[in-house]
Amino acid sequence: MLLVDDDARNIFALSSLLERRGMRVLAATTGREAIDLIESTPELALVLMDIMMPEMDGYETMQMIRENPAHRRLPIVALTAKAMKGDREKCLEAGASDYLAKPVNTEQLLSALRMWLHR
Amino acid sequence: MCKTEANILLVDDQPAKLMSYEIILGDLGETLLKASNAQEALETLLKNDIAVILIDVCMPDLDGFQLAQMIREHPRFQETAIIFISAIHLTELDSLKGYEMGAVDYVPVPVVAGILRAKVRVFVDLYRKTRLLERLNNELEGRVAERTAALETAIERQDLLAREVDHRAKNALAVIQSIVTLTRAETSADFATPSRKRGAL
Repeated sequence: MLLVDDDARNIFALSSLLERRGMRVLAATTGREAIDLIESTPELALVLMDIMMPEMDGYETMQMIRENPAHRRLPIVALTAKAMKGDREKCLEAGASDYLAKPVNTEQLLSALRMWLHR
Repeated sequence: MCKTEANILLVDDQPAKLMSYEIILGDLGETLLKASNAQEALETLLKNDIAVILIDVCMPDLDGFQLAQMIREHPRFQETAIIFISAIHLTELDSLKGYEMGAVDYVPVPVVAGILRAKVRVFVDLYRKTRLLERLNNELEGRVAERTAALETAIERQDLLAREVDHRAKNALAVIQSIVTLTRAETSADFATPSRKRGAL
């Protein structure tokens, strides 16, 4: 799976958690890097995307990912610090498959991943 | 032995110190990657294969000990060599704290160029040997799997052959049995007599 976050500390902590559970984790710190990795990694099973990023934000990145028909069905779980109403709709509209609020609750994250990975 | 360049990560908030490490370690002929804070260090770790990490203990934000602890907790970096460099934490207790946080070595300031270079070289060699061992191990496992598969195919073929032989033998036996039965039916009356006659002769 691919973790996208502009703060490497977040990716590091999350990948520590996920790799301990046997997952293989790739990291991207910009939207552009995420898109390149998705294009070059066809075996990717899931993307965990931070919404708040400088330059290209999560919404824009997701829209660009969905433009490629090959990635229409790739599960993308969006992460956002904002707990504002309408955020969920905005995420789903931009192409997210699911939505989680930051700070990420471990159990919530794992159950969301389980659901999207075993679909 | 393969001699691809190993990556060495240098973490220090002071550019001048980073540059001095670069000069000291330049002779090793390995790739030197620099990070001026914890965030950069973690990003470099996530995106590169690192042999040795050199960390300054005193850094603002996340200090060297905390950074090393974070690195150690990650399953991917449990075996990565971490060398601490420190100007002030020089008591034995502090060194011990460093080791507990996952350091494998400690270099005090002022850094003696030859010593730092030698220490890093040892860990780079260890990294290379570990990698080589891993590769050989994988190759061996691959060969074992290949042989096992070949053996399984051979056993399967043998099994098939045995079943074929069994089948043919049974067929032949059935033919013989039916011949015997038919012969017995046709000559049941005098089946025994000719032989006795022959025996008498």
